[in-house]
Amino acid sequence: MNAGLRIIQSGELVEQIWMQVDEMAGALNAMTETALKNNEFANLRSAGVAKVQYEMSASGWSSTSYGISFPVMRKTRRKSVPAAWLNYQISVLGGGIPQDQDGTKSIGPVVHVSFWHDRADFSDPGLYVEFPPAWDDCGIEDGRLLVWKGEETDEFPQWTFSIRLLHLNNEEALRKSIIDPVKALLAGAQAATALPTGLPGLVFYASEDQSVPGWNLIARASE
Amino acid sequence: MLHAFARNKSKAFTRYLRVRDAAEPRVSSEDEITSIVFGSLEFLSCSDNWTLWRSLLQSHGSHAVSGALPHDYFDHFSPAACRFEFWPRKNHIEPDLLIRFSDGHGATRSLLVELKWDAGPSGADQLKKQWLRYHGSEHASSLHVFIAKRLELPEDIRPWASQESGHTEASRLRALRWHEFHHQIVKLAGLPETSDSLRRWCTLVSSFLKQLGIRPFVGFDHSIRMADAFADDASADQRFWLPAQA
Repeated sequence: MNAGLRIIQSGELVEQIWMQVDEMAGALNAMTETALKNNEFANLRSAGVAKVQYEMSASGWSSTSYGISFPVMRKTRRKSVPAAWLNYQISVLGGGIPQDQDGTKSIGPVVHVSFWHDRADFSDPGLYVEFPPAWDDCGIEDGRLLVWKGEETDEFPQWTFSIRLLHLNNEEALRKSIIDPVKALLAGAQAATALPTGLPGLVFYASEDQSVPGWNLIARASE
Repeated sequence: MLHAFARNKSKAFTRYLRVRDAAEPRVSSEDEITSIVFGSLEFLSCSDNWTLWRSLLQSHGSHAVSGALPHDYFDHFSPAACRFEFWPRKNHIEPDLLIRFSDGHGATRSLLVELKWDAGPSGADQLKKQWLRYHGSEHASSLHVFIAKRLELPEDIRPWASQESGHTEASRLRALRWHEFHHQIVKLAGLPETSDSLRRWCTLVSSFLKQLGIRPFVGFDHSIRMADAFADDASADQRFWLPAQA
């Protein structure tokens, strides 16, 4: 195959992937809105309109990640003020892809699912998922859930888990690997229960010594 | 235009994907899409229209976001005629479409339809104003249909509430995402009892919606196959952007 043909096919491949990312985002959007409306996400309801953003490569020629953030609040509150955000970050290339131990092999495109106090923001390091991460204050629960312990007892717990994109083949897979775990985690389930070892596409994390500067998270496709 | 789009005789649909002609900076995408998708329905039979709307509004997707459908709307009613009014204006309110079905014996059913494409409702109370000011006298025999990519629904849906027997509550506001709309017409096209005319309409509109990016999420298998084809190529071990080894 000559280089010219392969360049064209590479472009078509990227186009094909982003097309499906767009469809996946639409489906995730619909499922999340429905789950919030039908009281499936614990005691949370929507606190406004979801925000969409894209991360671009340094040259500005390619999109690297897509983000959509849903503002949520406790159902008991009357005024619509976001108390937390459910952030989906779909990373196709670039810094949002977790690295394996020696940093040479990629586990491929992923979707990071985060429940944070803040809206994800690609322009603010620390407010989106990147590798090596800008934060070093998180723990890892059961090798699969990044957690931030709150200082206040009434604060929402904050967490992130990741699913490999190529394992998401239809809407049922989105429900099984994303929506159902979010539901379980918001209901207070332990990481190993909400994200069972056999969950399709689940990314497992291990930590290097967090006291060492340049701390990194190491990702694996299996436990 | 549906036929021209389906046979690749026109790329005019790209104007709805924000590809704009400098000579025509403002495009009324929503109105044009309304006309392309729903205008052709006016020429189908009343029975086909009833079948289509019943299928859309009784769908699981609509039920999931809108709650129960008033049971008396579709039951025990057989339309003999239907009339379309696009952008009817009354009391400074202009919904996108009003469809009135009548059974020839004085009973009627109507659908007040508001469509959005990229945007949400115009103002927090657009739907409420439509329902109360435009359609105030016909609530008992009507449904208010809202079709959009993103469903931003009013928090207070009491104006659309319908008391059902057994103290259950239903809603006359029926929201539907374009994805669900597409899913339902594809399903309808596959049913043996669907008429040829309605099946043809479903097929053409499905093709148009696909061109506009309203497609089901089917995963990354095709991308994986494309990527694997690179690896399978005999020269895959040589990266094309590197000079060939001497």
